[in-house]
Amino acid sequence: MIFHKYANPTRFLKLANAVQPWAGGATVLFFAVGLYFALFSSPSDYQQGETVRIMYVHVPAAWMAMFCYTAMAVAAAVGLIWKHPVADLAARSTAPIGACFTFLALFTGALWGKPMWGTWWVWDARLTSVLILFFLYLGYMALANAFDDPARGSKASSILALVGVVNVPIIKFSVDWWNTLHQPASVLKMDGPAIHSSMLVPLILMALAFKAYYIWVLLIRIRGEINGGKIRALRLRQVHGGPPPVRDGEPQGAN
Amino acid sequence: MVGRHPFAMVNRRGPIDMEALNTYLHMGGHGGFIWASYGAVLVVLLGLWAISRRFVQSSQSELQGLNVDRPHHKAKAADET
Repeated sequence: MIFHKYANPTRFLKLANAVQPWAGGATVLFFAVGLYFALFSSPSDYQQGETVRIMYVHVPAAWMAMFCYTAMAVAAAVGLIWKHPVADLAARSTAPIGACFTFLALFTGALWGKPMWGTWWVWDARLTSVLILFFLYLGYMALANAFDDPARGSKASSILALVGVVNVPIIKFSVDWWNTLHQPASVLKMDGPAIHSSMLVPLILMALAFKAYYIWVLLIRIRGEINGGKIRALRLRQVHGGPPPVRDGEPQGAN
Repeated sequence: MVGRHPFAMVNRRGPIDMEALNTYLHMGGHGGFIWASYGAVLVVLLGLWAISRRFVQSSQSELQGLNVDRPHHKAKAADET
């Protein structure tokens, strides 16, 4: 399987070195074009007026909040089952990015809700399940860093990530299963998007910007985690005074 | 909407059309909500990027420091001198 090839952090870093500048460039480009469309070129909504512009940051943030959690759970599963060191580091690195996207989805949602619904917050199924997602991210990060031995932290937090993934379909289908104040899906529908192309184009561009940003920052953070693994291995070596336990580039205690 | 396009806010004579700019920033009375949303996205995403970069840079310099202290690195350095 291809992911076994990148279990070696040194090999993974070679790939990351090639991808990272492109991800950074794509982030800047998509944000520049997307923001132009979102703030200047797209029309106001006939019902919501100018507040519809909040959609161009709220919806991509919410999509990425769910995507990051799913990616984190998959990486955690790969790390648990195949003891893949880079998958573990990818799960750890995804958590703070996903938490930021979830926070942004909640925050911009409140700012959109006040003028449209007349309230910042309601305890409806969609909003509450996204809030639970935010707490799952925080719980994952707290658990991953709660142990002196990172391997134990990774194992415990990976189990939490896998248990918590049940919340992702609940978020997605909450607007169909329960009566909620939140509107139902209007883009990712079986019968196609229900919004006009003049609004769909900026939304897609901003979604691509958020996705490229995720890849960019993920690669930066994984590099930091790999360095952290090497630092732990070197410190252990200094403490025990023994021969080098591993080759350069192999983080110890990371899985 | 008047003043929607950024170039529409710039007069041919030079100075920015403040009325058009104010209309644009006001966003139909919802400017506070809209700009706060975009501001939050800017602050959070830039902040996370900066923290992540600093995380890598500090770990890189710590790693270099530790590598210099390693015995075979010291021996190599001595051989070179």
